[in-house]
Amino acid sequence: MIQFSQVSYQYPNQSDWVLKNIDLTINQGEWVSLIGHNGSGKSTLAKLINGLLRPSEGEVMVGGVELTDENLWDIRRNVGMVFQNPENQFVGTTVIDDVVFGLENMGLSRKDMQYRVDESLELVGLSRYKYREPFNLSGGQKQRLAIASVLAMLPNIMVLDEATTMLDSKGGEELVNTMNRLHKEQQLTMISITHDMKEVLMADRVIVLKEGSVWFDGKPVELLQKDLRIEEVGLLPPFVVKLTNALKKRGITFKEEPLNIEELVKQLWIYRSTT
Amino acid sequence: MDISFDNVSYTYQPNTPLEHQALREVSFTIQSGSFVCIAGHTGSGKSTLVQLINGLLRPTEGKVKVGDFSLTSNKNHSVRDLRKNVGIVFQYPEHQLFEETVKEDILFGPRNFGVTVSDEQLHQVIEHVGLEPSILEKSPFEISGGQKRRVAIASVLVLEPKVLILDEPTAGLDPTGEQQIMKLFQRLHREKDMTIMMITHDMEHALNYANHMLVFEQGRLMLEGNPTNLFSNGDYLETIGLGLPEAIKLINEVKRLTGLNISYDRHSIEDIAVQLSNWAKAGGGQ
Repeated sequence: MIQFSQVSYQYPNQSDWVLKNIDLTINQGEWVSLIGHNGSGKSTLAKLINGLLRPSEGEVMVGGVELTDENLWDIRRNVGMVFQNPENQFVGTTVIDDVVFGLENMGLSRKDMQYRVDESLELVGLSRYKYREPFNLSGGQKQRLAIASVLAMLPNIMVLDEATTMLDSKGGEELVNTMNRLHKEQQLTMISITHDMKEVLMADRVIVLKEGSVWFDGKPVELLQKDLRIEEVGLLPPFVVKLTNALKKRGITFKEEPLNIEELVKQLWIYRSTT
Repeated sequence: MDISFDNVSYTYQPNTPLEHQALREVSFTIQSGSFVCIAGHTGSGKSTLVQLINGLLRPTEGKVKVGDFSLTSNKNHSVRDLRKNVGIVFQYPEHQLFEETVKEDILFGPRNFGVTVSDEQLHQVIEHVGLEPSILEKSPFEISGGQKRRVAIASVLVLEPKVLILDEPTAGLDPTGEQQIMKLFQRLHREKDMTIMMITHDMEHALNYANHMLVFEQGRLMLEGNPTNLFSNGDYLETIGLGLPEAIKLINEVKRLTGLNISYDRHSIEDIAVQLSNWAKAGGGQ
């Protein structure tokens, strides 16, 4: 569980507050999309979770414990981070070396290490690529390798900071499917900073930041239904929502709000056969 | 400026163990004033291609023509004038900002080319990218990410290039920022008749803005043509993982499930909604 109570943050020597009085609780096993304008404080919030930054005011608790200098390393092991450019994180000359690297300082037996490496590569679907060079993987595979390296540390929480931004549609899909699987099978808490509305729609919960404060906190469907002016926070409605609204204006009614193309077409089909 | 590639190949570090052929026998012609989208995976040769267009790289074989400039493996000709005409906005261009003020940063390029820029031109270019002139005196490090991106783009535009090359120009921007930047390029294309070549993996951009698309795979030009046409025969694009724009996916799904053909040509969502709602209302309970 992650708890923010009255957390504010200000970068050194700057007068502006990047985060203002944030109160948040994220439960174990939740998949949260964190979205908002460039500069809304998303990345700062993520960095407060694993102690890369410390709050200027207020308190951040991870797993019921407040972050201190003493427990910083334990908390970091518990909170895995994956960034936009996985290349920056690769150290090994093969896929397997890269996953092993993080484990080497943990004093594990060879057997344990082998088990964890195999398990994490299996989870992200990279078992076949063990002896490949990380740099020769596709974009989506690289991101999944970065995730595997984090998974091997057995974190409870995974933070992805715009991990899908540089991926093409196939790579992005691979990554989101992997996230979905980890979330379901491993009960991992997933916090994903993203601009991709399709990814947002798959999450349990979406938190929208605006100028350092929480602007919306709820289910993704609610964000789209509530007729909020999401343009204000740098978002645009996804294609399916725009089309649904255009159809509603023409008198078509929907029993449920369609969230993807398949659902939309199905509901239109139902409408047609019942009118 | 027309751009043409005639059987162009490019090899990095030839005759070494690290030899790598990035482009293989590529030929195409782009007419002046086109908006071209270049698609393909990492390592497909896209970045090599754009560097050949402004002479950062010279072809190992074949010939590149940009307007009156010809580039071959012969390194004896000057590319200075070519570079003035071909502006490149690299990925994350804001990382290249370094001067004390935004104004100095924008003037850095022109100074290198010995071009003087009037205050009026400076204000014009700043307005063009959607910023206020007051930003000129600010440090590029105290402005937001989206503003930095615009400043970096302005510093390329100030040289008034005839060809503008963009490498993933909206990566990392929030959706509204992305839309604003894309509209800016669309405007430059329309009003200034600028030739735009944009590397992107976002097929929505290709469909909505480009009138020509080049698809690369492992250094070869695999497919070229009008984006709408390429997407409607999109099986190949799907197999190489580029995906299809949402509108095309919808049209395909409607056809697969209902047999209804939705006509489209740079369709707006409204057009699609009209056709779909007419169809849905014509059911009559059957």
